[in-house]
Amino acid sequence: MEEAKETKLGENVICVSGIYEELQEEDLLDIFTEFGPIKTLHFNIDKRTGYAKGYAFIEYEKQNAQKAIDRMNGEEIAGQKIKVDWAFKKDKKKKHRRRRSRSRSRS
Amino acid sequence: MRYYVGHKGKYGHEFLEFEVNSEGRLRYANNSNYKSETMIRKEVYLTEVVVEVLQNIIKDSDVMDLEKEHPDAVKDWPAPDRNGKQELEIILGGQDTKFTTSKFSSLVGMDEHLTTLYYLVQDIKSLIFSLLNLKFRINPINAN
Repeated sequence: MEEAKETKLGENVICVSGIYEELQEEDLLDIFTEFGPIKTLHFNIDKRTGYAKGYAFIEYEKQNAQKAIDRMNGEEIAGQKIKVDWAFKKDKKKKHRRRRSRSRSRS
Repeated sequence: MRYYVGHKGKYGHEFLEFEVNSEGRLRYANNSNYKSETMIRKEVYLTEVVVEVLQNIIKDSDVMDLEKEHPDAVKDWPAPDRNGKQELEIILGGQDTKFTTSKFSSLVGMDEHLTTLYYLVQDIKSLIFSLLNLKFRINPINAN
């Protein structure tokens, strides 16, 4: 059961790459909130330069992530092309642990 | 790419390790015996876009050529000691490189090429820890 709960996490998370390094967090949020309420944003900074590292992870509240991907992948922000896709693979190798041992009943 | 940081001390072998392969498989392990905590192991598959972000972070750092271009500086980096050890191993675009050093101490007076490694490690950790937080709701303690 733990496994089922875990697969739910991260399923509404997208990755945006190619982000202009001086883009402000609120501008990024403005753009992506258009598709639905955002639950979490990770817009990481380059610790050496202080500028945005160029990528972000956005977690939507509901199933709005697909819309964001469809509409924003390949678009431009501040003249720079971005990529948008899921962060985590959907078809993970499913390890079906529920292998029932076949008991042979002798009748 | 594989990163390890750890030490053996009062509470046993405490370490943090993660690796990402070209298929996007991210594996994470965190072992701490402090307060009898057990080992945490996680695995998740990242998409190509995320793997590409990691690859670009590495390429932009110029770390792949560090050993070739500054072998003397790299040789002088502090070796692993009682406080612990760090390892970073990367295979990218036909090149491979591996660094082994102690835990980072103060940035003040740090060899300029070691700071390249330092900032790369911070950037990689930022990325990986964000992913772990989003997928597993965990927050690795960033001791370094």
